[in-house]
Parts: sequence; C-alpha cells; structure tokens
Amino acid sequence: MLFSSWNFLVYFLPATVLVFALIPFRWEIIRKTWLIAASFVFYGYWKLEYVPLLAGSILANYAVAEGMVRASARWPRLLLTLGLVLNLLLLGYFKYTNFAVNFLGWITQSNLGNFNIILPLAISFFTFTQISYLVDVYRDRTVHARFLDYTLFVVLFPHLIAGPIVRHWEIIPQFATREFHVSRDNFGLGMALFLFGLIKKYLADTAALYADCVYNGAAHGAVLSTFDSWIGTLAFALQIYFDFSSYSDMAIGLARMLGIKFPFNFDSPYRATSIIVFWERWHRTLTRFLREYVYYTLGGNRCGHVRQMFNIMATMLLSGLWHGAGWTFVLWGALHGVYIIINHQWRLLLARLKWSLEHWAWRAAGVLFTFFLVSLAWTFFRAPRIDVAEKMLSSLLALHGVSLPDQWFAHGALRDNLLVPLGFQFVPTQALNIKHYENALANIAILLLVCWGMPNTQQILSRYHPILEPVTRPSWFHLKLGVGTGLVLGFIFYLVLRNAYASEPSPFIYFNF
Amino acid sequence: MSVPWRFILALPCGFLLGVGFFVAMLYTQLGADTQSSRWTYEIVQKKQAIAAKVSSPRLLLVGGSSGLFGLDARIIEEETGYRAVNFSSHAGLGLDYILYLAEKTARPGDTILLSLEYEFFESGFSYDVYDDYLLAHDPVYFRQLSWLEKAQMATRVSFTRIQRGWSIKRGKPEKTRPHAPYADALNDYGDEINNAVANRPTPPPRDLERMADPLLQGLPSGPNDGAAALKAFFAWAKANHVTVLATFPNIIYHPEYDQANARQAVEAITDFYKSQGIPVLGTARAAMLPADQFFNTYYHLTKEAAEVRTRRLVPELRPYLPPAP
Repeated sequence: MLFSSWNFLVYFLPATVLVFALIPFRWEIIRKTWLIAASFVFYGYWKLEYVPLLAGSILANYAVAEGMVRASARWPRLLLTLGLVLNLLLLGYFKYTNFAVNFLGWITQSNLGNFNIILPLAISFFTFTQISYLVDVYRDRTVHARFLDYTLFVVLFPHLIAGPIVRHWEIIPQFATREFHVSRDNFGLGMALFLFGLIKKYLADTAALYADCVYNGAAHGAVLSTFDSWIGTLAFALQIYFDFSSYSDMAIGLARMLGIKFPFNFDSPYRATSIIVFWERWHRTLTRFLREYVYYTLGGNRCGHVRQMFNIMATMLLSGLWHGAGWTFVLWGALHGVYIIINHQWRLLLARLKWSLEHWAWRAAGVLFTFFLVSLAWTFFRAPRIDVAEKMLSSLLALHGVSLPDQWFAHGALRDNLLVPLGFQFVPTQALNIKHYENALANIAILLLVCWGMPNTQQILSRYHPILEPVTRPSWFHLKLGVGTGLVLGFIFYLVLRNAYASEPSPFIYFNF
Repeated sequence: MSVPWRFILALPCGFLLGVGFFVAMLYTQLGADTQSSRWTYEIVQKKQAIAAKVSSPRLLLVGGSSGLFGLDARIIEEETGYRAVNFSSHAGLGLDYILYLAEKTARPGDTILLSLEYEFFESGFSYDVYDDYLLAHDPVYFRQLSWLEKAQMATRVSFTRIQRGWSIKRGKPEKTRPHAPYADALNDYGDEINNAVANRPTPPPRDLERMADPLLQGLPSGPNDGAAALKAFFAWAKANHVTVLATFPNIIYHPEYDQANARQAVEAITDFYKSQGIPVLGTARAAMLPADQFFNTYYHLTKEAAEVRTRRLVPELRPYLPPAP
C-alpha cells in the first residue's frame, strides 16, 4: 500500500491511528498487537502470499537472537553465523538468483533461463533491520527484547517498506515510554511531516515526467541531444531526491503520529560540499548500517591506507548491489566508491598542504561539483541497461559534439548566426516526447532552487523536535504550527487526496529495493 | 514547543475548505456546454423527444451504446406490432443516470428491456463522461445530488475539466469539432442508422483488436453498486407498474469467454436478475458474436448484425409483451 494511495489515506491510516488512540494506554499488549496486525495488513495488501515469509523471518531471527542471549561459550558465534547465513540466503534467493544465473550464463556463454521469482516487497529492509539486531545482540548479550516488542520493531508499517533502517536501541525503548501514544503533539507534528512528504512526492512526480521521457526514449533507441540528456539527468537527480525525501518525511511523520521518533534519514544531501558529506546526508540510516556492519567489520580505517580504500570500495559495491540486482547498480556503487576514495585523497592533500576551503565560494563550488558527480552516477542507477547509461553519458559529456534538439531551436537568427558557427549540432529528438522544453527547464530550475535554497523539513520544524536526534544545523526559517499552517496543510491534503482519487499514485523509487 | 490544538483543528477545516472550494468551482460552471459532452446530450435529447411522442404502452430499450447500436426498435415494432423506442445512449453516463433517465421517461404500463454493458456489474466505474455531461447539461440533477455525492464529484473532476468549464463560462466556447458520424443518425425509433458495414471505419479501430475483456477478469460475485442501483430501479418499476426485462449486451466473442471465470460472471448476472424476478431473454453466449459483425468498438454491432440479433430476440420477447394496443 502506497502512502499516497487512496486506500492508505482514506481507510488504512485513519483506522489504524484512531483505534490505536482509543485503546487505553494501560492495555499495552493490545496496543502493540493492534499495530503489528495493522502492519501485517499493510504488508499483505501488496501480496498476501509473502506475509508468511515476513512472519517466518521474524520468528527465525528472534529465535536465533534468543538463542544467543541464553547460550554460553562458543554457541553465540555459531548462532550469529547461522542467523546471518539464513538472512543472506533469503535475500540472495529472492533478490539475486536471476542476477547470478544470468551472470553464470554470460560466463559459460549458455542460456540458463530465468526463474520466476517475485521480489518480496521490503525484503532488503526487513533483512537489514534484523541483521543489525542479531549483530547487536551478539556484541552485547544484555540486549534483549520481548517478542512482541521485537515484532513491532521489525514490522512497524512506517519503516517496513523502505526504511529508515532503524536500530533496536532507537525504537524498542520508546515502546515503554509515556510518549508512545497518539497525543496532540505527536499527531499534529506527525501530520505536518506527513503532509510535507506528500507535497514533495508531487514534486518528485513532476520531475519524473521528464526523466521518464529521456530515459525511456534512450532505451528505445531515440536520438538524444546533449541538451536532452542533461534534462533527463537533472530531472532524475531531482526525482529521486524529492521521492526519497518525501518518503522519509512521511515515514517519520507516520511514526510520530503513533508516538515513535525515527532517526534523521535525509539531510539535504545536494547541499553536501563533497561526496563523503553527501553520503553522510543521503539515506543516513543505510550509510550508518553499511559503515557499522560492513565497513567496520572489514576493518574500516584501522588496517592501513590501502586496506581502507579497499574497504570503501567493497562497501560501496555492496551498497550498489543492495539497491538492485544488476550491473548498472554495481557500476553505480563502484563509481561512488571511486569518488569517495578520490575524496579521501583530496582531503589528505589539503591537510598536507594546510589549505582551507571554508570560503563560501569554495563551498559553493564544492556543492556544484558534488552535485555534478552524483548526477552523473545516477545515470547508471536509472538506466535500465548499461548500453543506455553509456548512451546517456556519451551524450551528457558531449563526446560526439554538443547537440541541441532540432524542434526547440528552430531556424532563426540565434541558431543560424550564433549556434551553428559555434559548432552546435541539431538533432531530431521528437521521439523523446518532451513537448515543452520551457516547462521542463522552469520546473528543473524551481526544484533545484528548493533543493539548494530551502531548509529541510526537520529544520523547518526543529522547534517541535521531529526526530530522534537534535537538529544540529540551524535554519533561517522555522514554521509555526498554528491556524494558518493548519488551514494550508489541510487544503493541500485535500488536493493530494483528489490526486489519489483521480489516478494511481506512482510508487516510491525505494520501494523497489 | 507544543503543537497547539488550533493547528489540529485547522487541518480538517483546511480540508473542508478544499472540498468547499472545488464544489463551488463546480457550481460556477454548471451549464457550460463542453464539446466533449455535446454528442451524448444530443442523443439523449433526441431519444427523450422520440419517446415523448410515442404513446404508452411502449417498449423502451434501455442501456448504453451497446443497446443503441445492437438492438433495433423498428424491427421489434414491425415484428410484434408493439410500439418500441430505442432509449439506449452511452454507458459512460453510468447506471444510476441511465436508470434515472428511464424512470423519468417510462409511464405506467410500459415495458423496459435492459441491455446493460458488463462493466455496470463491476466496480471501478469511470465517471469522466458522467461528470462532464452532468455539469454541462443537467444542472438540475447535479443540484439534487447529496452533499457527499457533490463532494465526491468535486474530488474526482479533473483540473482540466474545471478549466474548460470556466473558459466556456467566461465566453470562450470550445471549437466545435465535426460530429461523430453517428451523432445525429437516428431513425424515428431512436435506432442508430449510420452503422452499416459500408460505413465501418477503415482500418478498424484498435478496440476491436484489443478484445472485449470485461468478462475475462470475472465480475465481483457479491453485491456491488450496480446491483444496488438495479434493485432500487426494480422496486421503482414495480411500484409504477412498469415491467422490466433483461437481456445481454452484444460483445465480440473470444474463446476465452468459454472459460470458467467468464461463465461464472455471466451466471452471476443471470442469477441476480432471476433473484429479483426479472425475466432474462436469450443467453449471454447468443449475444457473443464474431468480430466482423462489429462496427467500431467491441460493443457496437453493425446495422446488419443488429437486425439479425434483434430478429432472434423477438420470439423471446413476444411472450412478455401485452397484446398490441
């Protein structure tokens, strides 16, 4: 069930929150059971057949964790290995079987066919959540959650499908606090966050129109101009930014309605001045997971400089594979690995030369350059095949000369007297179906301004403590939740509902992972 | 900082403001004659005029365009001597509105033969044609809708449609496109007459290729909106001494229709009519005809095929018609 769908907004959410609010606070077990049941309904709405898979995964992981708590001597290590293997096998089977079979087929130059395996929704997320729990229990045997708490921690619907990848010590203790209920503060702030998320989803869908035109056109052999490639690349960079930002806001808001605070997940990453900072801000909870459970486990920066670079590359390759079972995702991860390694070398060089790049102009240049690199890398992320990514990149970087769409730059003084003499080529790009280039440019410019000029939702609402950790960077703008804000947000909610009524909402990009 | 109550209370107020704003938008453009609704309007107007001229008792053929194209009132009248009017118009108007028009037109002693498209028994009806038509041509019906229905309509009518209505109201009528060839091609019985094989569009539209698939997906087995509307209509008919009969719409035959889910869907419809005491004329299978007998969509028969189909229906119809006056 999508957060922006009619059924979620009109039936599921009101019913879940209302019943939860009505169950007396002292009926702890019933309150938790209700949320667990609602979360399973939320999950099962997509495909009922996979509910037992989720339930089985929870049971098995809890059993392994309990085993580790109760066992002595060498058993915990064995149990942890067993738990990790089980989780990775499950993930591997559903997500990577076809990828592996295709790869084997390519190596052996034979057609091994494809298995009809449907990727269960959210499997990457609930598997990672549970792996982190197992590892934490192994590291600290005093960690112990009751089964009901553990189940609720894993299936809680706001984070079940696409994160944030929460940790048990962040969430489970909150189930025992007085804050865990639908209070005025929780509901009001949760609604505000959720509605901000819905607005951002609309922005993401606007950008998607242009990204889809260009990438789908490129995949079907349409001619691309340099100009179109940049429109498609920027549009996708903005689409995924607003899409994931919107999802994160909605997830944080939904959890907050129920009295649960989630960690910060999306911290204006396009304002990062370097790739390292970008990864500290984009999908922060995934970065944290990879850093703590993969990068540190591989040795982090404790085993020498060369080994550290290897660890970075291995972690980023894994990150790429986690996002999708395909070579385009592997290349995306590898590219980011290279970026981060170069970024580390650059930092070392700056430190050695004792240069400081804190001046606003350097910082602005850093933001622009980081955005440029990230956008280039998104090409692999979005392209359905490597050849499409190659085509996009070759056009983006004008490897065959700078070209412009023929139908937009019609014959005239500008074209004939300036652009043609300067060596610009004109290519027919009607097949891309971008009808109004002016609108595309205006939309991209507005969305870029929002990315770079507006504070993020958590900053805007920082006075109300929307997330688990304090919002560190102050903002020039704070929103006061009063009558005016309520009226505007309520009105916007109706507009979103209209949209959900009239058309199928588009899924979140991260729902695919 | 705490979230004040006034913020929480302002949220639903803002929501209601949104509903009110869009309902008001609909009110401001009532009667704006959109080009897209004009054909349907003209058909309905002509049919009402034809029906008004014919004295009761009459046979009214009621349904969407499947009945308009696929049944022939002239032949029924010639064969039975019983006055008949083809009152079918456009399935996009929705079952509620089609039945409303029938109720408005029928008089005591009349007989109504329902030939309803399969989509009326499914959920997920598309309201585009209905909304467009109502706002443009039936403000009276719009005004008598409940506030909930008005709010629903305000929620589903697209911005584009609202914008069009506004423009027309501001004195910028839409450019009139040439009528569909069948828009005003009705005979004195309300039958479509421009759907002869010779007039069939070439190449045939994609609809014909795509197959009619409402039956393939199966229909909901439980009661749905269509069933509820029909039950109310049957009760009205009984109270007003109007006899109701039912038959199946003509549809392009596909071998898949012999499969279980399609057969079950048809049986569910037959059972429903029978449970309400409505005689069902003919079988669904008899109304499934080869693609070459269709005009431009999977529900629209050619004139020639409609005549054959109607002649086959007449013997089944005759026992239910009172002696010719």
